[in-house]
Order: sequence, then structure tokens, then C-alpha cells
Amino acid sequence: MASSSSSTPIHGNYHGYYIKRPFANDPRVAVLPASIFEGARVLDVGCNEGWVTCEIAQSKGAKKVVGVDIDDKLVRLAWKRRRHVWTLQDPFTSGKHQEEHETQPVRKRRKVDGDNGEAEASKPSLQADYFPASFEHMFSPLPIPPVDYPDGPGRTEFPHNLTFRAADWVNNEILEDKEGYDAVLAFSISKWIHLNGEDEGLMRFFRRVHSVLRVGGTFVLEPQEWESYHKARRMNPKLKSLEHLKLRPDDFERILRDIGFGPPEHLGKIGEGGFKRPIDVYTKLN
Amino acid sequence: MFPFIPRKVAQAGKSTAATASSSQSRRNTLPTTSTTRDSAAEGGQPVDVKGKRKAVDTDPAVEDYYSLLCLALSDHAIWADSHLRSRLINGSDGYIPLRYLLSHSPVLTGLDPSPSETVVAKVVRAQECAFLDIRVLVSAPSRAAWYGKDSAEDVLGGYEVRRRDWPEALRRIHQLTEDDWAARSVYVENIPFQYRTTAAIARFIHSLTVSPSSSEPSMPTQHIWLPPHVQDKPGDQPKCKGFALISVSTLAQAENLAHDWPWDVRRTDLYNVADTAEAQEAVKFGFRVMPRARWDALREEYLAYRQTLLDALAYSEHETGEAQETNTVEEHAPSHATAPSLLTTDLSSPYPQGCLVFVRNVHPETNKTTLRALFSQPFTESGAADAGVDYVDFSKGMDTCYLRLASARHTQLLTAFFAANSKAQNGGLDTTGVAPSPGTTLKAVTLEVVEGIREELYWNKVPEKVRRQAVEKATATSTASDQPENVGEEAFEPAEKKRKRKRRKRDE
Repeated sequence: MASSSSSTPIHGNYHGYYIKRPFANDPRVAVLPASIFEGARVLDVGCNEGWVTCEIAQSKGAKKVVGVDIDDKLVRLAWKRRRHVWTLQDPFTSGKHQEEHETQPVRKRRKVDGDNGEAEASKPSLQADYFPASFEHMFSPLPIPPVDYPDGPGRTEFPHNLTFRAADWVNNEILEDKEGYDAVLAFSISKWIHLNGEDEGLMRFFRRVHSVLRVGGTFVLEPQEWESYHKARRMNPKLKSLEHLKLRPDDFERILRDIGFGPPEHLGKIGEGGFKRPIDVYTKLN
Repeated sequence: MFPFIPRKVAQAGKSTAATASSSQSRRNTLPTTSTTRDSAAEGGQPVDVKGKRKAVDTDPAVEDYYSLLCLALSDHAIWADSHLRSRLINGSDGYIPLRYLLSHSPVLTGLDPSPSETVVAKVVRAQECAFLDIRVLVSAPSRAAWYGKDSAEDVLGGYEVRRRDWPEALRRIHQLTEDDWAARSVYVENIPFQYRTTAAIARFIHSLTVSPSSSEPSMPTQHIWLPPHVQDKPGDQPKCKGFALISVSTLAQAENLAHDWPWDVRRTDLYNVADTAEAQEAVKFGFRVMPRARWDALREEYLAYRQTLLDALAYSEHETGEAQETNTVEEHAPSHATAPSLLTTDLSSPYPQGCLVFVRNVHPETNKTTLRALFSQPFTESGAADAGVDYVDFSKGMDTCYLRLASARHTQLLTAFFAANSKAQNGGLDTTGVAPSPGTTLKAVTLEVVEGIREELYWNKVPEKVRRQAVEKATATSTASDQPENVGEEAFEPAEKKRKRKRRKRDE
């Protein structure tokens, strides 16, 4: 597990990652079809502070979301993020309890915009940023009620549907793996797995993803380009030399298809500045 | 419980003629967790743009001095501070000694060290915008009254400064009430990182409010309030975390800010907003605004909701230990999984071994008390009928539950009993169970001893204190013959002592 005292993010475990990317709605998540997440068990590998993980757990209807990161300090921050996101959320949360409150006026809800500032009028869902952030600051965060709290979210709703684990997922199982997943996300992580574990590590990662997904499950991969490997290696001299690496990001599609995924759906390049990368969606065939 | 004073109540105790607070321009009626915090000086302490914690910055950007001086002499500052106001009225053609402002104005006293008057004067003179006038202070012994005791040693030299439009300002101020200022106030959030100081916020708001082509001197930002952190002590200077309450000069400015930067549906482009660097940054950071009145209402709602949640936790059946610390425990990511020792529980065990049973097919309308009775049937030793089941982990509406048994031996007794006596729970209050007959839809309860990783996962979610108690109980209540490897003196404590231990609430 990454020591929290490491100064260079050798695993891509950048601290302060989200200071420059202060978006609660990640454009990479927005571009994915909602069906990937609805009622799904989702694993976010390399979750950093859990911004994407929290968004999926809160507003995508996922049944269970697990964020895993090699850096325990980031995982601690991810738990804080979860609490922060809960603290901003509209108190009228749980739809399943709405029958009990029929006599009370139903608060109008609108899904916080995902794509281009337009409110989605799909299923009624809670408002994510209902309370201003100042109250958490002034009065401390809101307590999370127990799962059986009658007016609160149930086990498959945010925040109860969200867990974080500190682990080197490529090489170690986490408890939730046993039940498997419907979707695994690998946003901006493949480079680091490749650099630290070399070709063998990368293959192990891809095989692990395949093994924990159900048939028909989805692997969402946002790979970094080969060109960026050099810079990473320069900034992190502890990483092994690139000459050992035979595989390239261009090979990933072939590799994944060999392992048992179908051809990827290319969802194009998202993001601004230096963060334009393809998002590839693979489906497990068998 | 965090006390707060609704604005109406706070206002009732305050005269409108003069501000109640002795000196500060901070809004007095703003409820905070500590009223003394209201008088904390607010300084324009710049922060390194990378957000690293810095020691006190000794050299803020020179343009900050100008912004802060304008704030120190804003309509709001004069309105709120009766001392400043009276000096303006009774003084020399609207001039206020710079030394006075540097040592008394809340937006300036935070500067450490205090800038030299010469530097400030230079800055003011360099501004093209003719909002402030500055001149050398012609000191005379009779002027000593301006200075007060703390600067009595040096009454010579220095500068004095005034608002060029000070008579109009005074006239305007005379008409304004607390409600007027509230109507001109907005809450802003996601201030771009590089503008998170008082001075920078003032300039940021200025650029969003005033047309770039306008050359008139104006001062849209009247007052900036940075919310103090819950852990701040009285006298601490609040740090800007990206949000603030801001009072502006006119109603139109407040309304336009709220309109241009709506709370819901965060804007992603510059449509209808002047294309300035500040506006672009505002879009990038998700800058948004809500009217002060809305913020006040939400604050009350937040505090009430918070109390509701705390109450729920205090009375909840869920084992979360101290209500307020619940979530730090729940959120603590479990560290390395330790391999459980085989079958025996001793005081070094991370959780009690073999004491967890998963039950299916309980009646969804049942409750913990009923379940406890139902599953205590195997334990017939006198005086210990309910000591076998340590805790019933059941949520209403479910047809499953977990049982935490006092010891592995109790687990064995329990599973053996139900293996020999197939029983279904016939209704929510059935404490004995019935033999399931083929004709009914009643299913017999099934019991499964939870082992291995599932057992570990379960106990990992139980707060440490509770888990510890369970370990101690399992260690102590098992007989010596079942656990020959018991270690520790407490293992030999008599069972009676364990029963005297405080029980958790069992209310339904």
C-alpha cells in the first residue's frame, strides 16, 4: 500500500488532484450511458479522493459502489468526500419512503445537471447541492443516519451504497470482489499500473477486471497515451525503465478482446487541456 | 447542539440607531456558533495560489491595500461602525487619519505587519480611479483626540484619507437599514482559487458587476463576511474556503449576480455575461450565487435537520456508539485484514469467532425483542435465558437478520436446536415459532453460521468498542472446557459480572 509520506505520486496518486478540476459532475461520467450504472455494482479502480465514485453512488442509481485506491491517505479523504457530498444533499432523499409522507408536500426535485447545464427530467432524484458548503464549515458535517432510519436512505442508496478501500487492487483482492461487479471503471489508471507492474502487471489487471465482471458487464477504460509515459517516468525516477515494456495502449483493444471482451465502444475524447483521452467501453462476452 | 439566534430575535435586542457591537463592522445579527466570533477582525490575508498553508504573509499584493481601504471606507463600513461614522461627520472635510483606519478597521487590522502609511498613500495616489482622496496629515496637538492612547507617542506626520463622495455617502447611509443591507447581500460559492482573499474577492466581484467599459469610480463590494470554521476560536481570522456572504451597493447588483450565476443549473458558458478573465474563471470553477434570504432559510433548515439526525442516532437501535462520532467510525476504512485465529476467541482476537449467525425467513414485521425471544429458546439455564443472544442485528422490513451470540458454544446450541426443530415464524410477534406445514407459504427459518471472510467483513463494520465488548464476552462466557487456550485473567471472570455490564438499548 502506498505510504502516505511518499512525496512523488509514483502510482499516480496525486494529492490535490481535484483542486484544478473542481467539478462535481465529471464529464467522463456524463458521457457514459446511464444503463451502465442503474442498479449496478460498480468498482472504481484508482478512485483518488472519490469524486467520481461519489457522483456515481449518489446520482446514477447504482446499487453498490466501491472505490479502491492504493493510497490510504486518499482513501481517507474519499470517506470525507462522501460525508461532504451527503452534507450538501437535499434532506428529502429516499424515494422508497415517500409513501409514508404522502400528506406532506413533496419537494420538487431536479437532477443536478450532468452534461451541458440542462436539467435532466428523467426519474425524480435528489438535489445534490441543496445546502451551501458554508454550513458544513460553520456547523460541521451532517451525521449519516443508520440504514434503518425511516426517513433516510436505504442500503442501496447513497451514502450507504458507497464504500472505499485502500488496496493495491491489481495484486490483492478486496472483500467486495467476491460478489463481483456489473461495471469496473479505470479512469486514468492504466499508465500507472503499467509503469509499476510492467506488462505482466497490466495483464494481471485486465484479467482481474474480466474475472470480477459478470457476463455482459462493462469495463470502462480511459487509457493514457504512450507519449505521457515518458514524462511520468522522468518525474518518478523510482519507476522502472520503459524499455521493459513491450505492450502499448494501442494494443489494449486486442488484449482485452483476447481476454474475452467484445469490441469497445469508443466514446471519443473528453475533457479540456491536457486531459483529452478516449473513453472506451468494453463488454464482457464470456 | 449548536445554538443559533434567528435574525429576528437577534435584531429585537439591538437598537437600530447605533450598532450594538462596540466597534466592528461585521454583521452583528448573523447567527454564528459563537457571538464573540462576530467581533473577530477580518483581514485580507492572502493565500498562496497553490493553496499551501503559509505562515502570515508579510507582503500582500500592493493593489490589495487599495481594495481593502475602499472596503474600510465603504458605505457599509460607515453604516455599521458608529465610531467611524461620527468621526466622518465631526471631522475635517471627510478625512480620516490613515493610522486610525489601519488600527481600527476590521479589514485592515488583520494585515500583519501593518503596512506603512507611505506605502498605502503611494498606492492610493497611483490609482487612476478617483474614489479616494489622500493628503498629508497636518498634525497638531489638538488632533491628539483622533488617535487614542495607543498611538499617543507619535501624533506627528502620517496621512489622512477620505471618500471623494463622502457627503453623498453619508446621506445614503442615513436611509439604510439592516433589511436594506440584507436585500443587497448574496451568498457566493466556488470563488476561483486565486481570488480567495478579502481584497481579491472585492476585485473579483467588481469585475463581475461593473461593465469593463465603465470608467466611473464605483465600489460595488461593500462588505465581505467569511464564515468562521466550527473549530475557530474567538479572535481567529476566518480563512476563505471559496464561499462568502457579500453585500453590494445596490439591489440591482445583488439581483444581477444571483441571476447571472444561478445556483441550480450551473452555467458552463459566458452567454450574457461580459467576457472577462474573471468571468471565465468563474465559469470554470462553478461560481454560483444565491440571495442572502435564501441562505438564511437554508441555514435554519440545516440546523434543524442536523438536530433531527443527531436525535435519530441517539435513540437508534443501530450500534454506532456515541451519536456524534458515529460516522468517523463508520467511515474509517478498515486497515489490514488480520487473519482470524482458528476457532478460539481470546482477548487478542479482532472479533469473536464463531459467534455470528445469519438467519433467513424471519417475519418482515417482526422486531428485535421478538427475535431475541425466539432465538433464546435453546438457552434454558436459569437466569441466563437471554444471555445467549448478545445482539439481534435486524432491520425492519427485512426477512433476514444476523444474531451475535455470546459465545461459540451458544452458536452451536442454537444451530443444533433449530436443526432438530424446524420452525417458521408465524407473524411479527411470534416468539416460539411453528412447525411449517406443507400447505402454507410459511418458510422455516434457516440458520447459517457465518465464517471466514464474510464473518470478518461483518465484524469490521461493527464499531470497535462494541466489537471489543463482544470479544470480551465471548472470551469470558465460554467454559474452560470449550476453550482450553484461553489467555488472560479476565477469561476467568465469573459470568455474573458480565451480566452486570450495561446493556445497550433494546427499545423498538
